[in-house]
Amino acid sequence: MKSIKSIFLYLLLMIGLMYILLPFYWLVCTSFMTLTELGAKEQSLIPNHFTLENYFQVILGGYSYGASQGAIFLRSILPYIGRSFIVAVSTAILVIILASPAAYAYSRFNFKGKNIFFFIMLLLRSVPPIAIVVPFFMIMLRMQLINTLPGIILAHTSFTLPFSIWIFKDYLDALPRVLDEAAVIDGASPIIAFSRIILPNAKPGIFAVFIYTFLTSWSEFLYALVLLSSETTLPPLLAGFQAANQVAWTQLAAASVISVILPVIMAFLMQKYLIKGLVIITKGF
Amino acid sequence: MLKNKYPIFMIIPSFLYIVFFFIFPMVWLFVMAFSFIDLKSWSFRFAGFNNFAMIIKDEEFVPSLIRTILYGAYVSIGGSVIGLLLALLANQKIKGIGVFRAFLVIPWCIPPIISGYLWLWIFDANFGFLNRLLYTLQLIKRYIIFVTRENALIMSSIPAIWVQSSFTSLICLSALQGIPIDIYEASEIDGATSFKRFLYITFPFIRPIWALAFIINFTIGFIMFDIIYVMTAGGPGTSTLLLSILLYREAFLKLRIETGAALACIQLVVMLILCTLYLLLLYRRRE
Amino acid sequence: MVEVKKEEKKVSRRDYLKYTGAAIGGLVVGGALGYVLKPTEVIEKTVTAPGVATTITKMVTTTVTAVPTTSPTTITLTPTYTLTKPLELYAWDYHPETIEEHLAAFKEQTGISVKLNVLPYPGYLTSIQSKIMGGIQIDDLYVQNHTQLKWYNAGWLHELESFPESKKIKSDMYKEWVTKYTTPDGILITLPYWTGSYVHMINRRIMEENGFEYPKSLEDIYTQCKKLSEKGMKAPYTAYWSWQLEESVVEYMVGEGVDLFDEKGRPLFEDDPNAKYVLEWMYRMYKEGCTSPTITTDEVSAIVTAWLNAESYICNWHSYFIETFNRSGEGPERGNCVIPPVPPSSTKKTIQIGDCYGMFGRPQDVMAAWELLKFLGWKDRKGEYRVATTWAYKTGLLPPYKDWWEDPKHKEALSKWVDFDLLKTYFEKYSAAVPFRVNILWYFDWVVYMEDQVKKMLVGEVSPSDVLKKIAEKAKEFLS
Repeated sequence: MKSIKSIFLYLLLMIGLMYILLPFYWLVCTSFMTLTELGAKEQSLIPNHFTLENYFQVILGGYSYGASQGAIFLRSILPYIGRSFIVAVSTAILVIILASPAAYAYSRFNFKGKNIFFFIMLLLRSVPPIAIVVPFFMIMLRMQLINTLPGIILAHTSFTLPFSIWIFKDYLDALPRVLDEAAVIDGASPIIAFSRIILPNAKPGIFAVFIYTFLTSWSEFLYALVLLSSETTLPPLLAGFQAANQVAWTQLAAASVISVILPVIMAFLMQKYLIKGLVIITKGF
Repeated sequence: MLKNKYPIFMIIPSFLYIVFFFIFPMVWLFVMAFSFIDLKSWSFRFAGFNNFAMIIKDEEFVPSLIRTILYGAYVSIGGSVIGLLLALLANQKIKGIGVFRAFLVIPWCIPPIISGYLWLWIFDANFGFLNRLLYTLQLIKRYIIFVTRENALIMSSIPAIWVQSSFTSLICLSALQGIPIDIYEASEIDGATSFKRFLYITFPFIRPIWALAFIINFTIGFIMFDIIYVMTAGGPGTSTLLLSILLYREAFLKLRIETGAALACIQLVVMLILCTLYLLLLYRRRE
Repeated sequence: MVEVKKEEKKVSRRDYLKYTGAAIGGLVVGGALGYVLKPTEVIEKTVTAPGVATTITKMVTTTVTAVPTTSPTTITLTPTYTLTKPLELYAWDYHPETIEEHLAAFKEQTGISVKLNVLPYPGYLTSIQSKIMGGIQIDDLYVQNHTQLKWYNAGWLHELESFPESKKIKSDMYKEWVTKYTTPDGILITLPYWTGSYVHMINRRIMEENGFEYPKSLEDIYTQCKKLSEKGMKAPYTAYWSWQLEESVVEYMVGEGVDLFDEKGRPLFEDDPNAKYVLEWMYRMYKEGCTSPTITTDEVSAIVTAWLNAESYICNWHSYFIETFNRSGEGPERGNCVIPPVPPSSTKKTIQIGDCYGMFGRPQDVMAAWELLKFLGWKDRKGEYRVATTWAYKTGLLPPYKDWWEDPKHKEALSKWVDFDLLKTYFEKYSAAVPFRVNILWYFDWVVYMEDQVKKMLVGEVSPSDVLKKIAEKAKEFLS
């Protein structure tokens, strides 16, 4: 009985893994092909003429398909990865700095406007980003932050802040109050209680916020497109693999694989904490 | 609950931040929606509900609204159900499950724009991966055109479902891990089957968090732009013309930003109504 | 305390006097310099375009950054500019390294620095329009032909009519092409970036093997493609019916002599039997296998690869693909591309296509921006077509200027991959202007509807005559 069950489960696991990995497998495959093979008459599931050319072109820069009409000029992807990384990490850090005190306050104190905040958060999630991109640009322009990384960091922070406060607040709700009370007994003000005692114990919650913010910032396309020009982050660069009448499919695949590896590794490392963090949040329900 | 004036200081930074970067653009949005805008002089004249009337009268508006709600529904149902199944799977105590759990996070790491390109290429009628796979497995004799006018809406929701199911599975998995073990053991003693156990014990426990994931998935589907723009740009015909694409057309192609702003306001209101209904439903049942 | 205050007051009053004195002095000096340095030639042409005349007559500066050169075709005075920052050029992402080369040469010739901002092509409209509405400073930018009138009406493009070289630029172009860059009233608003014709790129080997002659009409195309389809060719006729269906439709219509719209935008095609013929022809081509069954969703690479691998016989598309098919493409059929001596249509016409450069409505300095625009879209300071020639040699993107096509040097260089004289004839005689694509403001909204109806027709849902009726009605709706 048990062995049938476990065989069945392993089968399901295989299906689940295929669901997750098969599209990704195709992305990786394409990145090792040439365009001629991609469009060749005989179509196979494994690259027959395995080539690292795409990766070289994407990492070092060069032309796709020779320097001519159909060619797409490729810049090295490395500075873009660097920029995306700086933006994503800075956003995450900024969000954590802003969100944690606010979440603590919402969690531990009762005051007017608590529900309004919830409503505003819902409102903010409902706005299609393309609708407010122009006013956003105006603000950034006045602050002279156009085409700068701090500008895009501030923009990304504004999207992820409300939800991060909410996640962290839920997390803190579920954290036992004994720590607070211990701090108060010791005569510490709430601020000290917060920074010296609560925060160090809140690591999983912080990780959850970090990974959510990092991934959101890393994938963000529209604001990076508008607020930045030549020195931009990864998503607009990837969109640029589509020129007027040509798409550099294989190079796009290579660039996509490269730009996904970092968040995947990061998520891999943090997913333990992420799940733990979310566990404690859900206990609060 | 402690009561004193400290909380204000802790909230002020983030509150100011949100006011500045979000409330200001929103106010701007409302102002634009209620004005006639002359682009040359950048002057605004009060227009009342004129822009709203114009956009509602547009023959593309109502179908687009329905399509957007449908799209949101596809993404939320597909993403939430598959996510739940994945989470249930990942919660099993069998060897090597840690590896599976680690892989769960991968689709969520892929930016929507890449996901759009990827699935476009998978479904391609000439060189697509799905066609190749089915052909090599000899399940089809000729390549199939996967994305047609009829099914484009569903097909273009698949990238979003794929990504959101990953997100949902992580959230649900954490919820599942929070269920106390003794309840399980008690039910096993009582001789309940797995399915019954799921229905009466597991699911009620995780329902709140699953419901949260459901509404988040719906929101993401409702305001989706990147994937549609990359995959079908509103076509074939108008089969994937969602509100966000309609907004893009109004504001950026026709350069009528006031109607675009009105459309955004309408989208907001619809979303709020749907969310409120949803939450009411949720909290009503809880009692 | 009082001492300090008095001290402060004294200091601040002194400072105050200092600053105002400096300001007044600066104004006086500036004014005087301006009066003295005012160029002798003042453009006093009255311009009908709104709000521009004033900026041009006020050419007053104190900093001289330009390196004066004399050239037979440019103005005789030495322009001077007030530029504290480099000029801002916004371009979409196509060979930015070549653009940078051009800008370096520009700096060498004129001393003006230019900052290149590259935006990804798919997001160009969103990005540039958001930036413009958000208030960014641009000097020159790339303009898609179909947005130029909208942008001009919104004040985002500067008129180019009142500069000294404007007349010469217009007369240097082939006559048919001038309307592409002007408003309906004839005001020049953009300069050419690249131009091309819609051509039929035929595989010569397949043509000769099958004993075909150059097709002379749509019927010929149909007959030849049908034969090849029966022999097993997958997609004898390819065109970009997926994302640029409108261009193909307009090409066929214009070719068969259909007047689509008049200057007021009224549809003229509804009862035109030639229009019906075109649609029926398209339907036949699709239904009977002369085109690929996936032609309405094919991506660019599918079309190019099909041609290069002998899965296609005719590719009906932009002329720069000749370069791909004969020089840079990968595939066994490379080098076999020819175009018919005359476009295969009853009027012997095909259509013009291309995109442009424009000057932003409020540049930092109008004359400096104009220098750059001239350099990119016309001749450089030495009187050579530097930019256009580079694009032509490198990528097959061509200019519409008569004297460029007359230059034997270019003929020699390009003859390696194209019949230069034939292409010249296409540009000169066979490419019809299609101003309604540029000048009717609601045109592209109508196009969305039209493409949808045509695609429905191809799969048999709507009949050709119904399509004509519907799209004519839709156009009338837009008019009212």
